[in-house]
Amino acid sequence: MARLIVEVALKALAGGLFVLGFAVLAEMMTPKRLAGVFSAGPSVALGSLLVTAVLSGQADMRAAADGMRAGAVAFFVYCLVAPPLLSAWGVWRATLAGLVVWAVTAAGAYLLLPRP
Amino acid sequence: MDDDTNDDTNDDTNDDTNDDDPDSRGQDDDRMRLIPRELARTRPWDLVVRFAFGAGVSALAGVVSLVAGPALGGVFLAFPAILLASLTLVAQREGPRQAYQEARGSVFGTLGLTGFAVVTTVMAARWPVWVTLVAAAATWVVFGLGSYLVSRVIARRVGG
Repeated sequence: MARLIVEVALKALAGGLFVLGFAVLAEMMTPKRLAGVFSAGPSVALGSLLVTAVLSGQADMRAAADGMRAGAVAFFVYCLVAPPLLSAWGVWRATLAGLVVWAVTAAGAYLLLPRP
Repeated sequence: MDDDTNDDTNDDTNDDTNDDDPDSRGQDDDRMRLIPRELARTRPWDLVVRFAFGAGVSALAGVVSLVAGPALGGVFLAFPAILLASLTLVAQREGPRQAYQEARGSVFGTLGLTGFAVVTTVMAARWPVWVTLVAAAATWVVFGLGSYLVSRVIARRVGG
């Protein structure tokens, strides 16, 4: 149990640090559209996959990346719907509605994407 | 560029109210630049929020991996929480127009993110971890930043 808690804590720490790194880069970038590219960077993935590979092995890392494909496709759809929703509804309602779109798309993609 | 410095002196007090500010930050100046001093405008709290979002999503992915397996946990490695945090902070600090621009740009990052996941899936079984992750990160750069650059070229040609 203690090992599992440590694993989750290490993933949280690594993910947080990578996100911070990408956020710092995005803050310094201009124009804002370029900064947006870094907001969809592989920050959480890099930290989490690294810890997974070290603690659980490459088979788990591969499985996690396999699932990530579905999340990434859903993220793409989220980014397509977010700008018009932002214009129509404002930032809070738009981002929350976008999350619902992400969840539905990710579930569908997870079930439909072929496994390598 | 000079416009960027004008509001340095009052960034903590007026951030939530000066929706005119985004327009002063370059009137959609389209030049690509890395401006380290922009970091000084960033409130430490904003960075704490981003770290917390990143750590939270990573922890969520970790817990789902333990409960339901690494493949389902992996879905959350591309959860848009970081963008969500960024959009809300940018909208609050620089106005909705800048948040809109950031959301538009993130589309290109997700193209790279998809490439990142595919390359990792294909290479993880055959190559060392570091080779796999470096190749995947390079794929993100090529697809993410590459598609952004291509879009700029197309926009300029279409715009004359």
